[in-house]
This record gives sequence, structure tokens and C-alpha cells, in this order.
Amino acid sequence: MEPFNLEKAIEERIRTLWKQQGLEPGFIEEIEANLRDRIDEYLEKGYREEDAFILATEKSILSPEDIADEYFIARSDGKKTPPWKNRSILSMMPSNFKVSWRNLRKRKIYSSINISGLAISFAISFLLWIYVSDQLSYDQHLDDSQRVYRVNYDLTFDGQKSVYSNVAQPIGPTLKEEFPEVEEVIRFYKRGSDHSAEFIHEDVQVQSNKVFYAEASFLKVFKIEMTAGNPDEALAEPNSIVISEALANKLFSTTEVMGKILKVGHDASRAFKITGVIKDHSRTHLPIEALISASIPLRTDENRWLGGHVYTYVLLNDLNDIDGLKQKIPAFCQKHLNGFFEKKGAKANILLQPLESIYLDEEHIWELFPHGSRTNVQVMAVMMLFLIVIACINYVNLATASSAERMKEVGIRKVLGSSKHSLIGQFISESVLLALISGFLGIAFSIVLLPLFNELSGLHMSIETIITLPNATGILLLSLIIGFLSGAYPAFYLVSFESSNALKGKLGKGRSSNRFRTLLLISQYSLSSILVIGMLFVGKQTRFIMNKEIGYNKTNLLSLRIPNDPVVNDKLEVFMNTLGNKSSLAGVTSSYNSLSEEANANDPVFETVDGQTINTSMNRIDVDVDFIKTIEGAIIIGRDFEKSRGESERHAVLINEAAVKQYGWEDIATSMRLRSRDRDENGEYYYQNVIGVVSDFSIGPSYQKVAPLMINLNEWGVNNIYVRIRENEVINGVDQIESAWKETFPNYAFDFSFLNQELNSIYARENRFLDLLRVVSFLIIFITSLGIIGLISFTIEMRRKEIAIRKINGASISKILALLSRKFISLLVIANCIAAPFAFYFVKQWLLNYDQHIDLTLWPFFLSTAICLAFTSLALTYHLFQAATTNPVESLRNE
Amino acid sequence: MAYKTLVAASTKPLVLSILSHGKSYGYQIIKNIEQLSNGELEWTDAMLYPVLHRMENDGLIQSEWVVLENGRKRKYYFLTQSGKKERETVRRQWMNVNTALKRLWSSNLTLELG
Repeated sequence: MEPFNLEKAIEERIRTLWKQQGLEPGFIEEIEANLRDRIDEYLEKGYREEDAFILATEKSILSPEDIADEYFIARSDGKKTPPWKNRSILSMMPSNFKVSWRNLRKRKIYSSINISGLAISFAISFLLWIYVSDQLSYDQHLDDSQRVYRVNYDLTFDGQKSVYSNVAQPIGPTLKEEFPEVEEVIRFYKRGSDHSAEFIHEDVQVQSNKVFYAEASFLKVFKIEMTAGNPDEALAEPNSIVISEALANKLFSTTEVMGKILKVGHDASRAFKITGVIKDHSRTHLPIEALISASIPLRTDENRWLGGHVYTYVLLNDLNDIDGLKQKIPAFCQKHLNGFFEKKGAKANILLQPLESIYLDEEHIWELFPHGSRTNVQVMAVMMLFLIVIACINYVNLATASSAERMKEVGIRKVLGSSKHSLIGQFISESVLLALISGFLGIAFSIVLLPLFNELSGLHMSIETIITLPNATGILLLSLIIGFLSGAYPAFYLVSFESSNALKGKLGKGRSSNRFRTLLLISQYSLSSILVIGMLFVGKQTRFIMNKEIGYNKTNLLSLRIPNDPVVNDKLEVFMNTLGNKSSLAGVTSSYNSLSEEANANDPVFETVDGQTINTSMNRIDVDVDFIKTIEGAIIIGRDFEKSRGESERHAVLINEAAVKQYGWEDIATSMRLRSRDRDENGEYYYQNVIGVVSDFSIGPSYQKVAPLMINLNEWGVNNIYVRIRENEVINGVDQIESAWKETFPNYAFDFSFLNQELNSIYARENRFLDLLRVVSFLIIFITSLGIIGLISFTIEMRRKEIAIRKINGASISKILALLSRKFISLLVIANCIAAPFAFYFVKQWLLNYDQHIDLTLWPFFLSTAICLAFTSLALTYHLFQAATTNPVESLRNE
Repeated sequence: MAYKTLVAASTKPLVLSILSHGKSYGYQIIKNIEQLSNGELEWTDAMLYPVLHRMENDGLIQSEWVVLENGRKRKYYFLTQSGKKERETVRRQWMNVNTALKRLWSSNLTLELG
């Protein structure tokens, strides 16, 4: 056993004091002096050196930690616990933040890449979240909205299934009568073909297309907040009208309008008393400006289950047992509908659609207003996640890549007694600080980007509505969480090194971290590649739809909306005749249906020459004689309607090419007859002869497949007038039409548009969404690039000496470039190979939404690789060139 | 053994009073206290040195390092002017307490209570 060495023992004991954070050099010297005094005294008393040492240390420095704590408490005012004794990361934050702030300032490029990437991600994700939550909140403002369901009709004629957003008149009341689950039912129908009306108060005229005729119970189911009037009584009396605050303001410049009289159109008999004012609300699938009281009689005739559809909604009782009710629907259909529809060779079913999901569900036939798109919302939600994930990957990648630079710091801290715990706390604090700064900047960016976002998304958000306390808290909380999560891996990674290795700059576990970084890099590249491929296909499909041949000439075709007003109807013929004589106009026609909206769905019966009947499912439009000629469609078999044939043309009908192909009538088309479903009072069927076949043309959106169509001469009333203006005479033409209109209808607004504008407006939602998607995708690619640029610069920094040695040994710049870029390029290729099947799957699924779509070609896949390659090469070349052209002496100097 | 709070409260007056006799160093102060209290007050380094530092920060005492003949260093403390004043103040305060307690514990005291 080694003899006891007093000096050595004292030295070792004193060394334990140096580790204590509460002690400073002067204090330790004093404690040492005291210890020696005590030992001297024991020695004087005759104790052995070892015993004297033990006794003295017992009284002097039994616990170095306690001494250090006491020193801290004595020097600080009132603090009971020294900060190093407080082990929670949160309590360490303030001092860690101070150090982190110095670190961030020291490494400006690294910090700015991370902060800007994360801040942009926060801002865009936040705005996307606003978009997504806006779209998901439709109709949720109504009380009891979870208990309201729309009744849809699911009819299958000739094997072709069609879902209608409205149902036969008796279905609602019958449901209420037979099922106790149904507490209330409402029915309403639209005004005119486009639910529009012109409201007149003194000399103010306001056109609205949100006008409905509703039963008295409407406001009991649609519990729209009312600023005046009683929801139970407002629509009870005939000739009552409930209007929105916006309409009231437009007409009366006030919302105090109860009891006032409002005229609809110029017909003096159509005056309504205002019995209620509802609040405006844009987030609904059914925006309403006016509700006119209506009583919808309960049809009892044999044909009551088909035709004359009304929009029907039910309010279930408090139990809201929708599943139970749905189970009873088949028996309901069996009891009331099956007998009737089976006779027609058809099937009927009733679907109950939750009110809150209508807006994002697919559109059914006769929807009143365009819907949003659930797919779009999902795509944006995924983009939101992409953004956050990519920004986090950037952080983790850059933090681990820069570990070499911070190795020595970790080593020194460890040698000086830093615990793993406090080091992890330090690194996590750094990422939390960075994320918090990004969070604040993100909020600022989102304010700056708000106008652009509103334009792209079609929303009308103000700073006050988005920057609310909960939203701002949410962003900052999210930044905290992201800071913690993305800081955790680099923190544990850096702290895991042995101090000696860390000080020598040896990356002991470098390989596994490299693998992890590679994995993250591949994921980033893959995500970006999927996005680029997606964007290329989306752009291609959009161009395809926009430029698709629609079967008629949409340019220079002016469309006039005709108000549903007897005064106008009386003079329409005069107006059209006037137009017929104008020099700049090549043709005039009218129709019941609009070319930019859906046609009526129908289930006509046709008969062959030998009396065989065929049940079909066709769309139907009702038009004037010169319709096909004016729109410049083409007759491919037979003839067009002819005015000269007079009344006999009432027995004529045209069908389209799609109908001929669908039913195999290529050789017998013009020998077919359209037969009425029911016999007249004399027991006879009514027949119309197919006089010709028109080439297919689109009605409504051109991405929908052209369906079989029959064209009848219009007896239902004119809603649209189409005027063909001669080429190069558009301005003159419009002037002539306007002057004729004002001459004939001096009290009515001249409401015109060009058909190509109308058709483009159908795609407005798609276009807007695409623009938003493009911007977001570009940003995601930009943020990925930021991360990759950062990573490349670090990699090259680490290999600077290697580059220098290679240069000294005679390697050319091009060889060095090739050697160093190999890794990134191969990762990029691997990532693209991984991305391709995913992108292929997503694009294929998306294209299924369109009846008519482009083919999946290979070039977008290659182009995406090329785009990612271009970004990477640019960054690589710049940094590599800098490294490769630097004088090797500069790089090797500090060795 | 005295209560911890009492020890804490009495440290400053005791240090001031010891140093009013002349300069001294940490271990000597501890020894003096031990002797004066007949071993009842046993101060540790952890208790005394922080107090000395705080008093120095407050300007009540000053310190100086002195190199001894054997080459070792020792830190001596002595009272400043404000330390002397403070000593008078605390002396009066403790004397008040002392007087009150003495009277209370004397056998011929009758208190009017209740």
C-alpha cells in the first residue's frame, strides 16, 4: 500500500472544488488556507497526517457542493437554489438562450438558412392552415348543424346512376310522417333557372342570384342568426320575404327594414313585405340573400315521385340517430318508390348527406352553388405538413452536419465538468430559440403575405381575423415543439462523443450520423421530386382542359342572361328580331339552358321503326331553332331544326353523337322516335322524330365526358340569348346589342358576358387552387434547396483539406468537382427513383377525377429529376469551385 | 446546539464583534466562536466564508492576503468605518433583546397578562 501523502491528498481535495460552478479562484484559495490551518492544529495535537486530514476535511470541505451552494446564496440576493442545481431544461433556458444567441450570431449563414427556411415554412403553413380550417368550417356556424341532413335522390336509369341534390316533393313530408327520428323537414326551390331576381326599391335595383322560395319552417332547420324578425313566423304569411343584411344595406342603406315593401322585378303585383333580416355568412354551401315565403303543396298524383324536385333537408331529433334512420330507408324506398320506378326500368334510393360535409363533398346534379373540393383541402393539409417536415429536416441536417465545428466546444465543456444533461439542454435551447425566432418572423411574414394569399385562395381574410391570440399562441407553441423535437437528435448526437475524441475532432459515430443525414436528404429530395412531378402533370392537365375542343365556336359568342320577368318575356321576340337585322351580328338564338351550366338530366324512351322501346338516360337542353347554327355546332346526320316548317317542328328532336354511339344507332338514328312516358287523355303516346345528329359539344365544364344529349325546341321559357358577333366587329356588335336592349327594356340592366369568359370562370376555382399549389410547391422546393445548399457548403468545408491535398498531388479542378459531386448526384437519382412510383400513383389517382384527361407520360419524371439536378448542381458548382480554386496553402495553413 | 435560524441571525453580530478586537482570518474566527460559546457554536467553513464575502460586498469589512513566513497565504479580515457603525447598531439591538430576555427570566418579575 502506498504511504499517505498529505500534500497530494490536499491537492486532490481542492481539485474537487474547481468543478463547482459557485466557487471562484479566490474563494478556493481561502478554503485551502483554512483547511491547512485545521490540519496544522490536529498535527500539533499529535494526530497522524492521515487522521488530521480526515478530521480537518470533515469540518472544512465535507461537501464541496454545499460550500459552492452557500457561496452562491451568500452572493445572490434572495435566490435559494443555484441555477446549476435546477435540473429541468426549462429552468436552464434563460442562461442557455444567452449562450445560444451568441452561437447563432457567430454562425450567421447557418442561422439565417435555418431561420429563414423555418420562418417561411411557419408563415405558409399557417396561411394554409387558415385555408384548410376555413374550408372545413362550412355550415358549422348554424345551431344544431350536426343534426341537419340533406335528402338526395339516387336514381339509376338504364344502368346509369345519377345522384340529385333535390328530391321529389312528397319525400320530405313522408319521411317526417313515418319516422319519429325526423323532427322537422324543410323544402325550398330556386327562383328561375339561375335562382336570381332583381329587387327594386324606389330607384335602387339590385340583382341577386341567391333567392329561394322556402316553406315556413325553413329558419327552424337552418338556424341562421336573425337580426330582426322571428324565425318561427317570418315565412309563415304569404308574400313575406326575409332578406340578408347585405341586401338590406344595398337596397335601403340600412338594416332597419322590417315591414317595408320590396318589389321583385318590374311586375307591380310582385311585392313582398320584409318580415325578417338574417346575418350574412359566406361560409355556407347555401348562401342566401332572400327567402320568399312559399307553400309547397303535397303532390298526391301517380307521378309525384319524379319531376318537380325540391331541395329537402331534415332536422333529426336530439338523439341524432342517423345510422338507425339510414337502416330504415331501404324499407321506405320499397314501400313508396320501388313500384313506381321499376315500371320505368329504374331504381331509386334516398341518401342522407350531413349538412356539414355538403360543401366539400362531390357535387351532385342540380347543386345550387359550386362546392369546394375535399381533395384540394387534403392536398393543402399535406403541403402544410411537407413544409414543416422539410424545414425540420433542414434543421437536423444542418445541425448534425455542423457537428464537426462544435465538437471541440462540446469537448471543452465536458472537460470543464459540464454534464450531459446541461449540454443537451444547451443544444435543445439553441434549436428552441431558433424556432421561436422563426415563429415570430413567421407571424410577420404571414401578415406580409396575406394579400397575396387572399388573391390566390379567394378568401377574404384580414390581419385581425387571422392574427388572433389563440393563433399566435398556436404558432409559438408549435415552434417550441418543433424546436424541442428537431433539437433533440443533434443534441444527443453531439453529446454522445467521448471528450478526448471530441477535442481531437474525431467523429467517433460519424458513420451512423452520416447514414441518418443521407436518409433525411433522400426524403427531402423525394418529397420535392414528387411535388415537381405533380405540378408538371397538374399544369399539363389544366392546359388540356382549357384548350380542349368543345365542339362549337366559343369566341365572339355573346351571352345575355334574361331576367325571369313577364315584362321582359313579352318583348323578347321584338328584341331578337331587332338583333337579327344588325350588320355586325351573324346570328341570334335563345335557349332555356345555359351552355356554361349543366344540362337537365332525363330518362327518355325511344322507339325503333318496328316498335321496340329503349329506355335511355340522356341530358336534355331546350333551345331555339337557330341554336346549332349560331353556336357553330355541326349536324353530321340528317338536318337541323328549320323555321320554315312551322309548328311541325314541335315533333322534331335532335340527338348527339354520344347518344348514337352509346345506344348503337349509327345506321338507324334518324328513324328513331322519342316517345312520351305516359299516354295522353285519349290513350295515345306523344312522339317526336329524331331529325338529325349533332356532333358532340360540351355543356358546362369541358373535363366532363360529353354525355348523350337530346335537343328539343324550347317551350319552357327563355333564360339565355346567344348572339354571334362577326369577326373584327366585336365592339360594334356589343354596342348594337346594348342599344337594342336599352331601347326594348329601358328599365333592365344590360347583363352580358362572352361565352369563353363564362367557361373560364367555371375553371376559376381550379385555376386559383393551381396557382396556390404552384406557389406552395415552389416554396417547398426553395426551402429544400436552402437546406441542400447549407449541407453542401458544410460538406465542402469539412473536405477543404482533402481538396487541397488532392490539388497538390495534381488533381484537376474538374476531377475534384466530379469526385465531390458524385455523392449528391447519386443521392438525387436514388431519391427520384423512390419518388417516381409514389408520384405515379398520386397523379393517376388525381386524374381519375376527370372524365377526360391526359395520358401519363414519362417526360415529367425526367424533367423533375432535371430540375432538382439543376438546383443541386448550381449550389455544388458554386461551392466546389470556390473550394477547388482556393490556394491549397490557405486550406492547409492551420494544420 | 443552537437553532439554525438563531445561528444564522447571530453570525453577523458575532463576526463584527470579533473583528472589532482586531483583524482576523476565517479559521481563527471559527476557533474564537467555539471558545466563546464553550463549544456550543460550531461553525463550518460553508457557513462562515459566504457570510464574510457578503459582508465584504456590503462594505462592512475588508480583506487582505498576507504571505506567512512558511510561504503559505492567509486572508485577513478587518472592520471598515461602516462596519464599526454597524457593529454599534447590532450591539444595541442584541442588547435590547438581551435585556428583555434577562428581565423575563428573572425570578421577581410579575407580568400583567390576560
